[in-house]
Amino acid sequence: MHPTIFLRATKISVGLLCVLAACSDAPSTSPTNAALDAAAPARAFGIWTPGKTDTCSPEVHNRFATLGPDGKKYPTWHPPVDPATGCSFGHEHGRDPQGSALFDRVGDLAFGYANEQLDRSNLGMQRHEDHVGHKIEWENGLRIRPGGGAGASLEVTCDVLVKLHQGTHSRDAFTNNLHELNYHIRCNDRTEMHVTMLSAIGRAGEFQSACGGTVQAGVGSPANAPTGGGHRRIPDASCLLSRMLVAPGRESDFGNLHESWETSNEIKRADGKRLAAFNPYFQVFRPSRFFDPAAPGIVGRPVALCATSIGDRRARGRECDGLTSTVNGTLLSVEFDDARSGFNGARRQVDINDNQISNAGGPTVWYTDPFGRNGRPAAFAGSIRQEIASINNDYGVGINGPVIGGNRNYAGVGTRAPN
Amino acid sequence: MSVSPPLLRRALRAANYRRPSMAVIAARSIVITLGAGLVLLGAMSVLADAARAQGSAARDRSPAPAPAPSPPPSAPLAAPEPTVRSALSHLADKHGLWGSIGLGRASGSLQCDACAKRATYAYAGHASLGWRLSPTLLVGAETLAWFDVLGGGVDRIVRGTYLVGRSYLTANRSLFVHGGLGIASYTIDDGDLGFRTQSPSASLAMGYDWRLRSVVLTPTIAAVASTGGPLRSDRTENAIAENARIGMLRTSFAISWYR
Repeated sequence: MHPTIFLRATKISVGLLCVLAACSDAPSTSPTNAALDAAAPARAFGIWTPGKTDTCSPEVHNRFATLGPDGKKYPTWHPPVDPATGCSFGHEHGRDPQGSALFDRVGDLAFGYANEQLDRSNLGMQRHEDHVGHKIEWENGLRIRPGGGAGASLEVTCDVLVKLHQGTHSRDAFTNNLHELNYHIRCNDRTEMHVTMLSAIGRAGEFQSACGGTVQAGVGSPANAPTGGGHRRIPDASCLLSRMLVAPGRESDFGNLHESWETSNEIKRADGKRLAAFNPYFQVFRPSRFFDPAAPGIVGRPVALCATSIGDRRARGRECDGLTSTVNGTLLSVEFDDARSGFNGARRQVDINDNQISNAGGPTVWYTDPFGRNGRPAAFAGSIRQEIASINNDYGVGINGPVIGGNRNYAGVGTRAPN
Repeated sequence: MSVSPPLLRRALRAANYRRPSMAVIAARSIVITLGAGLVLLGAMSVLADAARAQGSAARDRSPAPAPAPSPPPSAPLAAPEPTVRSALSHLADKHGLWGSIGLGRASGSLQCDACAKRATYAYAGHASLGWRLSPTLLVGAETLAWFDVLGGGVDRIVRGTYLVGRSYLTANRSLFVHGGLGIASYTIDDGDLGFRTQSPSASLAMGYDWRLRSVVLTPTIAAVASTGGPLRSDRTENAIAENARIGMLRTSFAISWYR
């Protein structure tokens, strides 16, 4: 038998056995079409619809699906352009996870699984996010040097695969602090964790201005969302207008159009003891929104700054080139969702910071609520399976700073806001 | 000189290797076996010498075939009375203490999954003290230290203590092999944070005693390897690696002393 055919047959057999045995906890790297067709759709499945310039149909989009640990059908990563038909989706999800050394271990990521589990967890709240905000990043063989001189003799190498729902095109993150996070890391110092959760990033209803200070932006959804560590740093209108509108002959600093979501996450046992902590920072350059309380829907558009004047001051620079035109003596910019605009949120980076595990002698599989709390060795309603190595990796020294993805731009043909 | 591609590949593979190859395992086994053999040989020699001394003393005590007339009470003894003390004295005539103290240059490395894959070079010292079981076989104890402490903001120190055996390979007692079994440790410390590991270790050396009147100069080349142990943070005791192995290659000059 040809090896490829044999492998495919084996995968199908394993998939059928899995369905028959209802082994829903195991990661599924390649669910069969039959299994997908038979699966019930999760809330996150099928919610994308094409915009005015997107050429792919929802049917093409829905082919990119996977089974979640609960057996439901979820959307998953796809390229910005469908390789089979050549149509464009208008959005991207970051780096193809199949290149990650962790992919065989993790499988396709089920977008929206933690949100789905929150519905089942009896915590009295719901949180569902849009489709385009799911952004994947990964790096293999990432070298991490523990701090201090002693670290020079050590070289911790890690494979990292992360996904955060980080929408930077709408008002959602002005007030909503709960965002789905998948965090997978495996290092040569035996650090290993595979976590899916809703990361509470700062407080609901507010965010940190890129110029400093806290901005009260409204009421969070859900209103009873737990408060988490870290914050969402987002540019706001007063900050941008003062920093980016410049006189003729000068160039605007478009670095001010930068969002930094600095997460601080913990996985805890039911008795409150911390099992793991990690705090990656997710940064987006040239997002397609900023907070503007005077704008409709409180969302300002950076591309509009290219045509916004205060006296003779306006945003100037090559980022604005080709995005404005004068109509009847009035300078106008293209629409925020025009594919010509570079303000599309397709340039990102993730800072991989501390990865602390305090689970020596403990089980490697824990079930937590969607916020990573109430960890128990057995599953319960709405719980999420987390895997954490049975070690303590606190060496008394911080590990900060390795950056992944900073040199990549994920925009493809037709990629545009909302992305 | 050009390096052929297969050789280069082998060298690169060797530089990046994570698990010991069969060759390393074999070399390690040889070192351990040799060291253990030397110690065993030393122990057997001690027992054999003690037995010989006991036999000699017994012969001295056996009755003479024709008893001589007793000397007058005032006359001195013709021969010493055979005792344990005389047996030890006999041993001392044939055997004796030896010692050696040396200084040299060594490359030290720590190999583990999370260790930086490179050796560093620094000064090393060693001292040995022991007993000559026979003109060609010596046993004793050895301690060594390697100090990579000059510059770089971080101190790396290797320490080792061994039970050693030395065997001369030539009739003129110049060329020797020297092996030992013991414990070695490696510490990394930047003054704020440190890591350390300690594990059973073997040493193997080859040297040459160069006799210059009353002084013996001993150039030596030596290798040290350890079986591997956890590399722990001295702040939290958590291990960043479970399999940290110490390696050292040393060249040194020693002043040796034989009594």
